[in-house]
Amino acid sequence: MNTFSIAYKNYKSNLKVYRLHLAAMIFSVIAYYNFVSLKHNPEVLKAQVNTREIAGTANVTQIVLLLFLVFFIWYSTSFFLNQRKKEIGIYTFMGVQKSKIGAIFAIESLFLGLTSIIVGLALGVLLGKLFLMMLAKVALLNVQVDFFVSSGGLIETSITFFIVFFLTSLQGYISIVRSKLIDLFNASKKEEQIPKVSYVKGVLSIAILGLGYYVSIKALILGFFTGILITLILVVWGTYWLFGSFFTIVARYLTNRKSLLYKGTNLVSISNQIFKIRKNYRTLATIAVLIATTITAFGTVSSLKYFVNKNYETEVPYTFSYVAESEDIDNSIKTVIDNSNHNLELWKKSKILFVDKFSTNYNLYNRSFAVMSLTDFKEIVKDLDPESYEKNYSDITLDDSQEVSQVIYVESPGVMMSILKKYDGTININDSDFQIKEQIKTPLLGGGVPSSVLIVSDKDYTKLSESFKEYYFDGIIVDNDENTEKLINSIREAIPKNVGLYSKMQAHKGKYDIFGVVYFLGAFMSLVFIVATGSIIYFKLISDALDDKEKYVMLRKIGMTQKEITNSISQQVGISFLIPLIIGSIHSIFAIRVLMDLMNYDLTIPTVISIAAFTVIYGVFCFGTIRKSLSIIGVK
Amino acid sequence: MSTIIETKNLKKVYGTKGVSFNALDGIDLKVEKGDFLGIMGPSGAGKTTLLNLISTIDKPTSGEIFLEGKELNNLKDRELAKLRRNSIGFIFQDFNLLDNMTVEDNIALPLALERKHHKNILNKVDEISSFFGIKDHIKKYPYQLSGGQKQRTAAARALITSPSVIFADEPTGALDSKSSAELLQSMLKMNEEFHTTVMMVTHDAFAASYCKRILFLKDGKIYARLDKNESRKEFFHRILDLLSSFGGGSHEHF
Repeated sequence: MNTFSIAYKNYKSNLKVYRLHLAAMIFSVIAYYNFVSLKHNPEVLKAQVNTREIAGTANVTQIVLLLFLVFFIWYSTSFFLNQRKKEIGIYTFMGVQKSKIGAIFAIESLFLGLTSIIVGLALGVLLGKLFLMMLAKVALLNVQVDFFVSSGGLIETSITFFIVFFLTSLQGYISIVRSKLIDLFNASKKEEQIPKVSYVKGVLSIAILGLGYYVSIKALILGFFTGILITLILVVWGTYWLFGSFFTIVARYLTNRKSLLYKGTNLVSISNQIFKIRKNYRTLATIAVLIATTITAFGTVSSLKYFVNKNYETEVPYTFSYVAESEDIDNSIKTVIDNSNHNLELWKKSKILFVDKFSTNYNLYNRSFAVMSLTDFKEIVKDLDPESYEKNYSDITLDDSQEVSQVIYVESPGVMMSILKKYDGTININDSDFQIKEQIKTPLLGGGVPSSVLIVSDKDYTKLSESFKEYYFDGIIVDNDENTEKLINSIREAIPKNVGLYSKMQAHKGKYDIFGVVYFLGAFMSLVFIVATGSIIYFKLISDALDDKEKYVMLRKIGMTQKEITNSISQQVGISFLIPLIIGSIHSIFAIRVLMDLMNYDLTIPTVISIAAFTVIYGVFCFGTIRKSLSIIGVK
Repeated sequence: MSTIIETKNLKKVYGTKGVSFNALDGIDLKVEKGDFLGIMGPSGAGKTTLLNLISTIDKPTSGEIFLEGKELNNLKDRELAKLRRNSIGFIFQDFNLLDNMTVEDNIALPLALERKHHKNILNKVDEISSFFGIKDHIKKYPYQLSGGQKQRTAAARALITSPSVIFADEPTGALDSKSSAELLQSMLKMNEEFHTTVMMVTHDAFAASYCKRILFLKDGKIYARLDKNESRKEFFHRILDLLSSFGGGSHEHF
């Protein structure tokens, strides 16, 4: 038999063993193909979403995706190679040249690679339509989804993965040629040694994490990008030391508490766990970081998506609005509405000033802003956003008795996020200073007045109105407001040219499409990350279970019941899943907190949703790992 | 003296019909309390199978086993686990200690599973580790011990529940002669002081000479019995004689 036919035979007889590995690789191919074929899809190209930003985002995502998938494939390949060290040892022992064994295994893994490319592409094409439909739904794109086979995508994916699989096979070949016989034989029979513990590192890890969190809270003050970079380095560093030392210290403390330790299966579970954490600490820390990344990414994109609607509300709170120099036209507008087939639902009025001469230490985008009195503000918000009015604004007061009066700063409609400094802002208008008490986002004037609004006390408003010209703002909501073309046209005819009219019709909702696409890309990446994260920890724990098999045979002999063994294993696997999840979630909460500062919105709900969604999928992996471990160890 | 182990027409068949193999072929056996029984015989004679069946690890194809008067076939998994925990101790050839626990924790394991109070457990560990001469090592981990110390740790673990029977499968198989002698001395002492019944499978005539009685198996059947009624040295020679009589005998593993 030649090398090739041995490899082919091995491949065929090992297909079942490789099931999981193969599934991981096929999943990678499917994910990548679908992603790449997006670029080549004529309908997506036609849908005019291929703006520069989206193309840029997609390219970056593609690179990150590829890097990650390569890492994932490499990890899973080396895991399975490790499982077969003994087999390789036996070949070597029988006198087969190592280069020949290397070739057998390399060819075998190439077969696997080819299988996963073929199966992956076939499934990818089948799932492609589903993928696009999801994209269209989530991204609010108006795309006709047809069954589509992207030849460009097929070619690009095949070539990319062929290179990836070729390189991993080559790497396997090299590692076999370089291996020593003694290591191959002892790979499965290594005595576990007691890890050394560094108390200094353990304590420092907590301090480093604490500092990282602190920096993240103060990120906007330190300068956004520096702050984020420092946080990132500190948190990753702290996480590795936390898993490397801190948890071992905790576990060691537990093993010295005999009253706790000598309680049923605790002795078995805790003693095992201390080893696993120490032995697997790099994996566990990596998992924690991956979890943090995934939850943060998903939290970010779902926050964006979540607030697209909110933002849209701040931009288009009315069916139409206008700003006039007098109230004269109100009556004619009322007549137009009465004569139309719409009914008036809400008519809000406010007097506003446009201030364009001011100085400030505040970093404002706008060259001008509108000023409104507190009474008018409350009057409008009460109807437009009753919920937050009750919660936040019904009792709000502005102190104007001091030399510096307080004001509220309402952000321009449509601003998603800003990295502006939000503290200690003062604005000087007409030689009087105003201090910003609060910076908020709320539907108020809408896109008809595309600037920030300063809410001042009624007294201050009167004072300011002496030096700035006063305008009348009217915002009107009618029923059946999706179909207002006729109404708006009649209104346009009824009012003078110098009155600024702004209608829902003209508000361009399309500019929010990008968020839909970003959301989809983010959610897609998150899914890939979750699956890969789950698989990595699965592989690791399964190989632990294989190592522990004999241990449990012995434990059964000394009288552990099936139930006790089941509990102990579930506990151990559960903890290996839970600890990274907790650490990763805490990291992500701090990360999303920064985002909350940026967006000036309460992101609790998207954060909770992201963590919950992650936990559910991750929980499925945990459950699968427990079941597989139990079956390896031989519990019925 | 009361009977602690009894088997009636015990049979164990491995494999399916077509290619079956009778590992045990009708074994009738009675062991009294406080006995120190050795089981010898060539490879494949069914020694370990017999031990596994009596020690509840495996189930017979047919026949009955009584342990402390209870018929094992009638017991459920839970009851078997309880029996293993309370009435049986094991010593294996490759020690079977848990690498990730200290000697102390390894010995404490069976009592911890029983959920005894931790102070009682620690007292008992202290007592039993002195008995086996490993008291100075109880804070160490298995990889820091010699083979003899490991096996004495395993013996201590087997004895800590004060079981009525201890099953030993080639306990000296991985030990040098000095460590073997030390371990066998401890086992003998344990048999004499605590009246623990011992059933030991061994290839080694020297180890077997510590027993009170020896059963020789061949092809799944009892081939011969020897009772010790002289000094250990003379008994040892009688064992060697018998072994050479069934060909291969003591030299089978030279």
